[in-house]
Amino acid sequence: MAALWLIINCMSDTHFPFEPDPASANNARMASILDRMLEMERTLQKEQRFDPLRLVVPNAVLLASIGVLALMAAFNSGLPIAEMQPGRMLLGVAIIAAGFGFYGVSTAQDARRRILQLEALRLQRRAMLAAQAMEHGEESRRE
Amino acid sequence: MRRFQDWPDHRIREEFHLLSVRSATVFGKLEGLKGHRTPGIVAILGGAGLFLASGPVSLIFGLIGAFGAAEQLRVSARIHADELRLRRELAEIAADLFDLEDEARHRGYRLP
Repeated sequence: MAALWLIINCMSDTHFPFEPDPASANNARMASILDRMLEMERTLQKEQRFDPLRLVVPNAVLLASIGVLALMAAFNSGLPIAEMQPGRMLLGVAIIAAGFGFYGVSTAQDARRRILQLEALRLQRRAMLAAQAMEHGEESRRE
Repeated sequence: MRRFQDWPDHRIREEFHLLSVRSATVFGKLEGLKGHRTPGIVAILGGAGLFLASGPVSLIFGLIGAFGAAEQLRVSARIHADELRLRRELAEIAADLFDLEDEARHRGYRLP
């Protein structure tokens, strides 16, 4: 329990001023909830770190395949591209580019969603800690 | 003039609980906004089919690809609108939370 509160103190930017009573079941429940939220925060931050790579890889694959196709077209004319009408080719390129563009948009939206989720988790923890601190404050006022 | 000047203490405490529940709800809704990439992949495959097939088949592939791209655009726009709505709600929660914390501090509670 003490280690858990130490971790929370180290991780959070808001400082936690009082030592909770470990005997209280409410505090134990609270601690488990906070622990789970911290785990979620950590996994979210880890996922977020991979995002640039995920955005780059499909575009690199597209570029590589375009290069390979161009090389093949330059060295032998037996490719299906050679006998295609230019209009149809343009249409195909446009559709593929649209697909990759939307893939990038969706990845960026995923990253933004995770940032918002982190923000929601932080607000939730802050509100819970504030409510708990008020309860403790009321008890100490009564005494 | 503070916003929550007239509220009794227990109501402020309940409001803290309520705000934590609300931000948890926002978190769940954001979890539901998982990125949908399938239509984009359909668009890529349709475009590739337009390249590789010949005759009327390639036109069908092109139609499928264009449909996938349009569907992806629709999905992305909807996710964007939902995200904006949730972001606004989160900002509201944060504003309430900060004001309530100020009020509680003003009344002599020690908050983290």
